[in-house]
Amino acid sequence: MDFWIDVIINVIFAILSVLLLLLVVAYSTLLERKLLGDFQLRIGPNRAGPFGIWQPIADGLKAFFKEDVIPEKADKIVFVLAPMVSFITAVGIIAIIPFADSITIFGRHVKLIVSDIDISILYVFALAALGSYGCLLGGYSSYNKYSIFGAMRTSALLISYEIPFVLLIMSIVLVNGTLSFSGIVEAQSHLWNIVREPVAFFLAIVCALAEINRTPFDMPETESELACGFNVEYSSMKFSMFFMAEYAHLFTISAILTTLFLGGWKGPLLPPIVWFLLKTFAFMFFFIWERATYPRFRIDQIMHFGWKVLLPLSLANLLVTAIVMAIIG
Amino acid sequence: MDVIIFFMAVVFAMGSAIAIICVKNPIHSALWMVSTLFCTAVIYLLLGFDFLAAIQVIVYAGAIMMLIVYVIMLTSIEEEIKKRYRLRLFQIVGIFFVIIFFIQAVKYGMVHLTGWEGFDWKSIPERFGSVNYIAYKLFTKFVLPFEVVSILLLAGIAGAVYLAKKEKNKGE
Repeated sequence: MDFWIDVIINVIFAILSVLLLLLVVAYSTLLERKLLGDFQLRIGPNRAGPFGIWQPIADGLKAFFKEDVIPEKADKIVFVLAPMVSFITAVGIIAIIPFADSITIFGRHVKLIVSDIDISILYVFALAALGSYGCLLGGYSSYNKYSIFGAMRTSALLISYEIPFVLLIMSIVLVNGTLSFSGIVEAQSHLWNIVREPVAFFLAIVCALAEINRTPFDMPETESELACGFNVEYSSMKFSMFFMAEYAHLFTISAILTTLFLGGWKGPLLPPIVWFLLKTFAFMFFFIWERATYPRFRIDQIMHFGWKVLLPLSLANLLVTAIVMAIIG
Repeated sequence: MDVIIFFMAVVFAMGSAIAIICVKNPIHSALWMVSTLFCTAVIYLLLGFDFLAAIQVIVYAGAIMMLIVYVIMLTSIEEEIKKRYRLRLFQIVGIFFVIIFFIQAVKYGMVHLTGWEGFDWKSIPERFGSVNYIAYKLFTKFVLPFEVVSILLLAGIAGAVYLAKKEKNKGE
């Protein structure tokens, strides 16, 4: 009986966290458009409701009622499958993010994490690996030269920036001695990882930008070169799914960086969940801010930067971390 | 619960494995292969090998199959679809029985010839598939094979770099 109550609580929490993610996804589009408007001295969306707060709902309804076009020569099954793969793998990451400390409901301790597994970091990379199929297949199945270019550039980008990202996170694992996110949060009780691993922090932000395809690495989009990259043939809800996956990635990567470097939900005075959301939204603000600031790299510049600058730097960081850890034990 | 998930994983793995050799489009074959590898990862997970399951998805489904899909995308798929030899249903059924016979033979051999019959399954330590256990074994008992494999991989990387390097004397 106790077992089934735990299962039910966990299922409810899982549903709640997915709903939270979808809410954040919807409103981060509005946040991004408002902030971009501010940065560019425009007003931004302000027609639907006060401060445009109904804008995401209006956008969603509009996308829902648009005609759903599938190109005649497209690989139809894969064409339908690709946005789902993107979306599901993006949402799945929410399962291992520790939102807060355990709380007590009806006399039982409930951890505010859907699944507290030992291999959280590997889970993230496994889902990221599956998620990159979404872009690749979307581009391939559209039967369009621009989308196939976009898909190949995107997957090349994802593969090359995953390697330094893994190496940087491995140095965090070395310092904290665990692969689980809740363990990493516990290990940061006294000192955040940003103090212990400042180089890794800055390089990880660069890799994270590439992993979620944002400027200056927004290779899948490149409006000026490829019209819109891998999703050029997508319309209606299928396009929305790619779009939502992108913003879900924005939130989850911010949450992961918060957990890895800024001590997760730990902080004085305020309740843990507030700290967690504050830190996560600080990262999201940063990601939107730099989008308004930097122009886009060319694809060859991105590849050179990834393989010839980021990879050696992250290897050196791992080596130094390992030596220091071996000396101080 | 575990049993239900196990049988679902097995059925999906077998189904997608059959689909690999049955579908026309090579990209679809590659995708069914990804599905098979994913289902195998689920089986590892049920056995308690969480590390192996994650590595299976990252390395096989993420890296190797990605490369294969990439290469297939660069070939002309339409010609391939026309030319490709497809197995017919009765051939698949035939192959299926041959494989089952083979598995039974191997099983018989393993159980009766290698002494697995009296193997004490309880002697397997707890947390057998965990990261800590694998890392501990890898850096103590199996450190020599581990180093040999890493040198082999290093040689592979050096070879790949050499092949990809531009030849400077030619064509300038």
